[in-house]
Amino acid sequence: MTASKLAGAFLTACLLAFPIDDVDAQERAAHALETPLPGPTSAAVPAPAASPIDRLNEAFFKADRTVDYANVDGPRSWYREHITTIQHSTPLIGCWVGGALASRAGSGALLGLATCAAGSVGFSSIGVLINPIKEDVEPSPELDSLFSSLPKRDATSAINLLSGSLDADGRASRQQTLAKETKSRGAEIAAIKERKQQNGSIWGQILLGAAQGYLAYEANKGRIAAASAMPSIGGGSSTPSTTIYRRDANGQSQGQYQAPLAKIAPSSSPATHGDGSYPAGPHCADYARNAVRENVYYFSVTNICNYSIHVRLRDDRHGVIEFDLKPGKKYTDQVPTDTRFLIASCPDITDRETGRSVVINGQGVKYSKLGRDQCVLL
Amino acid sequence: MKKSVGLIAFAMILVSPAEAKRRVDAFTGLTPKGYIVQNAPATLRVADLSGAKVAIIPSQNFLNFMKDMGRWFRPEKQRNLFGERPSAENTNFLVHATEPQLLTDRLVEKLSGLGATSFIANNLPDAKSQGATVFIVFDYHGRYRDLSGIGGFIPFTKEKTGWESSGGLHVLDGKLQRKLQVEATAMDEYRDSSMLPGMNEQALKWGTIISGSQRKFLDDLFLRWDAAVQQ
Repeated sequence: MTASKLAGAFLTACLLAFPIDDVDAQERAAHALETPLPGPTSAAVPAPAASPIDRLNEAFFKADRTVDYANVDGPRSWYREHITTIQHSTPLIGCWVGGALASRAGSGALLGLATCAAGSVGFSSIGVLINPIKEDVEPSPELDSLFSSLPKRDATSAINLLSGSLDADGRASRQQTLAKETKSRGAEIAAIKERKQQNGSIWGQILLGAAQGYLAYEANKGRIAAASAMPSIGGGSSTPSTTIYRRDANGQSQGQYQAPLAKIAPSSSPATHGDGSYPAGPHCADYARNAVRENVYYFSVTNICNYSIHVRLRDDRHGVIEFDLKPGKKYTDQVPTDTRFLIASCPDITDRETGRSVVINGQGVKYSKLGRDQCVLL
Repeated sequence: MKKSVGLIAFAMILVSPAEAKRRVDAFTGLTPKGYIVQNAPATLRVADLSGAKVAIIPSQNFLNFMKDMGRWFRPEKQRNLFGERPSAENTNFLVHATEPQLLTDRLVEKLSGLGATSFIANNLPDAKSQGATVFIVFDYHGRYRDLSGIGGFIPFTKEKTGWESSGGLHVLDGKLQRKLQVEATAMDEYRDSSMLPGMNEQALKWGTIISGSQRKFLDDLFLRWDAAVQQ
C-alpha cells in the first residue's frame, strides 16, 4: 500500500468517524441566517444586521464562547478555555497533515489540495464532537437585572403540595389509587343511574305530581272532566303520577288535596263520581280516589308496584296501617277488624260494610300478563 | 338569563362548584405587567432537557384551580343543606380524583424520562436562584360547564354537566426566551340521573368528570409535546 493510499484511507476514516452533519453546528448556522419568527404571544425582535459571513462566523465559532467556565472542569475546561484557538487551528492542522501526507506520497498539487481540505474538515469535526457541553447562559448584568425585575409571587402552600409530584412512589401510588377507584366508582355510577332511571326523575315527579294534584282537585270540583285529569298509563309505562286528595265522610270534596308525597300509577279511565259504580280497570288513581271517598283521609302510595307493593293506608279510626300487597294473597289478618277497608287480594279492595269490591276483580290479571305486578299501590 | 339559570341550578344541586375564576394569561404574576415573552431562536430539543435542571412553575390559573378544589371538594364541604353526606368511599374518590398533583405528576414523569431533574418553583427568580436552566410554566384552567341549559328544568329532562380542562406548557430557556409552547383543551361530561342527584352521585360526578377531563387534557398535551419537541 502506498503512502498516498494510506493518507487517503486515514482522511476517509476521519470523515467517516467525524461526520460534519452535526446538529448543533447546522442549527446554529440555520438560525444565524434567519430572523426568529414571532410566536403566538410574543412579538418578533428584529435581528441586528450582519453579513452572512459574520453570521456563519458567529454560529460556528462565537456561539460557544457563552460558556459558564465555572461549571466546567477537567480537560473539557481546558478545551473550553482554548476553544477559539483550537477551533481556528484544527482546520489548519488538518490541512497541513493531509497536504504533508499527500506530498510525501509524491502526489500532485490537486491531490494535496483535496487532502488538505478533507483534513481540515475532519479535524474541525473532531473539535465539534469533543465539545458536548451544552451552551449555558452567560452571566450577564442584563440577565440578572431581568430576573431581579420579575415579580416574586408567593404560593408556598401550593408549591409544597405540587412538590409531592417529585416523589416517584407518591406518583405511582396516586395513579394506582385513582385507577382503582375510578373503576369501582364507575360501577356505582351505573347502579345509581339505573335506579334513578327506574324510579324516574324526582324533579319530574314533583312537578308532574303537583300538576296532577291540581288537575284532580279541579276535576273534583267539576271544573275539568275527570278523564282528562288522569293521563294514560300508556300500556304499562312506569311513568308515575300522583293523585292524593281528600273528601269528607259524605264523599264530597273538601276542596283540598294533599301534597304529592307519593307516586301512584295513573289511570286512563273516567274517575268515579260517588254513585257507587267503579270504573273498569285496576287504576291506581281509582284506588286512591275511592279510598279517599270512603273517608280514608290519607291514602299514600310509596312506590310503583312493578315488583312489590307496599300499601300505606290511614283511616280515621286507626291512623296509618302499612302492609305488603301481592297478587292473590290475603291481607285481612294484617289490618284491624274494624278497618273500613280490607285488601283481599291484589288488586281487590273490599269494602267491609258493603261487601263490594272496590276494584273489579280480575282486572289486575290484565297487567299481570304484561309480566309485571302492575297492581298498583305502593 | 343564563346567569339566573346558573344560580337556580346551583341552588338546586347545592354543591356544584361556582364558576371558576376567569382565565388569565399564563404569565400573570410571573412577569411584569406588559412584559412580552420572546421566542427563542431555536425550538426545544430532547437534548436540551437531558441533564437539565427544570423548574416547573404553576401559572396563576393553576393556583386558582388548586384554590377552588380546596374550597369546593374538601371532605368536610361535602354536605348539602339537609345534612346529607356522600359515603366515605365516594368522598375519598372525590378527593383523590381532584388532587392537583395528578397534573404535575405527568410532567415530572415526562421530564424524568428525558433525563432532566425537575422541581416545583414559586416564581421565576426563585427558580433561577435554585439553579434552574430550563423553566416550564404549567398553565391549567379548570372550568365547570352547565350543559343542560334551560332544558334541565323541564320535567324528565336530564341535567348535563361538564368539566373543561385547558392550558399548556411554556418552556423557557435561561434567558427567558420561549423555546416551546404547547396547548390543549379537553372536556368530560356527565348526565345526571335526575335534577336532584344525591350527594353520592354528586361526589361521583365531580370526581369522574374532573379527573376524566384532566386525563384527556394531559394525553392531548403530551401528544402535542412529542410532536413539537425535536429529537
